[in-house]
Amino acid sequence: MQEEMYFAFEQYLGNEMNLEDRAAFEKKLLEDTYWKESFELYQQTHQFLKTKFSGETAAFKQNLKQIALENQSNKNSSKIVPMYSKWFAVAATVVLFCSIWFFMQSNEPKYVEYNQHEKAYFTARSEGVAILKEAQDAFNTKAYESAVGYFEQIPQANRNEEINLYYAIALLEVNKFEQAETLLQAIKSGNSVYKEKAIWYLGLSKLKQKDYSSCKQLLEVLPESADDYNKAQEILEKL
Amino acid sequence: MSEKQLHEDQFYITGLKENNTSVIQAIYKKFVPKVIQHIKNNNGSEAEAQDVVQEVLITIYQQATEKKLQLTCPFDAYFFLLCKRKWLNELKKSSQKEVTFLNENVSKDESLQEMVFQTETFSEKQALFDLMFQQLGEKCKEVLRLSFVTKSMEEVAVKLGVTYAYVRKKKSLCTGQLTQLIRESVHYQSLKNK
Repeated sequence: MQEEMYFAFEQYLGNEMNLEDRAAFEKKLLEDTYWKESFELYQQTHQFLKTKFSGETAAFKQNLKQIALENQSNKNSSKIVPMYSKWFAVAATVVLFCSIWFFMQSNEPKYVEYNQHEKAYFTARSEGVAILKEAQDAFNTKAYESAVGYFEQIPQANRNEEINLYYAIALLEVNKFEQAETLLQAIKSGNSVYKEKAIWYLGLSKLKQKDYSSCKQLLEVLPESADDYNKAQEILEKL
Repeated sequence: MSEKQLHEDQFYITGLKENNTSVIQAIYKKFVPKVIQHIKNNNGSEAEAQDVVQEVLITIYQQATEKKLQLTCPFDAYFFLLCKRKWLNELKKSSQKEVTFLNENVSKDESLQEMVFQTETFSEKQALFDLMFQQLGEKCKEVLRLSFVTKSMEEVAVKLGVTYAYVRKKKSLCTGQLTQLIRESVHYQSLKNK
C-alpha cells in the first residue's frame, strides 16, 4: 500500500503517467487528505534531495568559498602592510632597476623587433619546383638553416631576384652576413621591385651586427615609397 | 506574500540562485563587512563570522532554488538580520559565551520580519531533512545520492549492478522512507504549522 503510493508519487513527479492515470491521481489528491499530505511531503523531500545533490549547488558552494577567501585575503593583506612594507620596498627597488636596465637596453633598436618577414610564395612559376618548394616551406616555418640548405642547391642561373632576396633573409637569420649582404647588394644595384626590400634588409643586417652607423646610412636612403619606410624611420629615431 | 510588492533588491536573490559571481562579489563588498564587524564585536572571530555569512547565503540560495523566494524588503536589512540572529543562536548553543546584545527584534518592519521568519523556518526544515537523511540506511543513501547525481536511472542501475525496475522502485521507497522519518520527528510537528 505505502510502497504503491510512493511509486505513484515518483511517477507523477517524473511525468511518467498517462493522461488517464494523471487525472485519477489528481482526483485522489483532492479527495484523500492523507494522500495529499503524504504527497506534499514527498514532493518537498524530493526537491530537498534534488537541491542537495545537484551540481549547481556544489558549484555555488565552491564559488562562495572562493569569493569569501578572496575578500578575506584582501582584508588581511591590507592589514599586514606594515610588516611587509620593507619587503615591498625591496621588491619595488628591484622592479625599478629592472625597468631602468630594460629601458637602457631598448634604447637601441633590436633586430628581433623587426624580423617579421613576409612569407615566400614562389614555387609555382619556377624551374626545379621540388627543391624550391622545400626552400619555401622551410623559410615559411622559420627553419632558416634548412632553407639555406635548399636555396644553396638551386643553381644560380635558376635564381631570380625574388628567390635571392629570400635566400638572403634566410642567410641573415643564420648570421651568414657576408653572403647575405653580397646577394642583397646585387639586388640593390639592380632594377627589380625588390630593390627597396634589399636596402631594408641590408640595414637590418647591419642592425643585427650592431653596426649602427652603417645601418643608419642605409636606412636614410630608403625612399618614402618603400614598404618598410615607417619601420626604418622608427629605427632611425631610436638611433 | 504574493500580494506584497517585490523589492528592487530581488536581483541579489536571483543572482545568488544563478550563482552569479559579480552579484556575490557585490554582496561581499557591500554587506558582508558590516556583518563581520558585528559578529567580531560580539565575541566572534573572523572565521566564525565568515561561516555564518556562508551558511546564510547557502540558505538563501536553497530557498530561492526550492521555493520562490520573493524579497519584499531591502536585501541589506534581510541579510544582516539573518546573520545577526544566526550568530545569536550560535552563542546560545555554546553557553560559555555570554550574549551581550539585546533587542534583536527591534525592527518594526513587517516585511522584514516576515521574510526573516520564512527563511529561518526554511532553514530549520532543511536541517531537519538533512538530519533525517543521515538516519537512512547506507543502501538508501547511496541509491538516492546516485539517483540525483546521475543523469538517468538507467545509468544508476548500471552503476549499482541492479535492474532498472528495481532501482526505480528503490528510489521511491527510500524517498518515502525519508518522508516517514521526517513526519515522525517531533520537530517536524512544530515546523509543519509554521
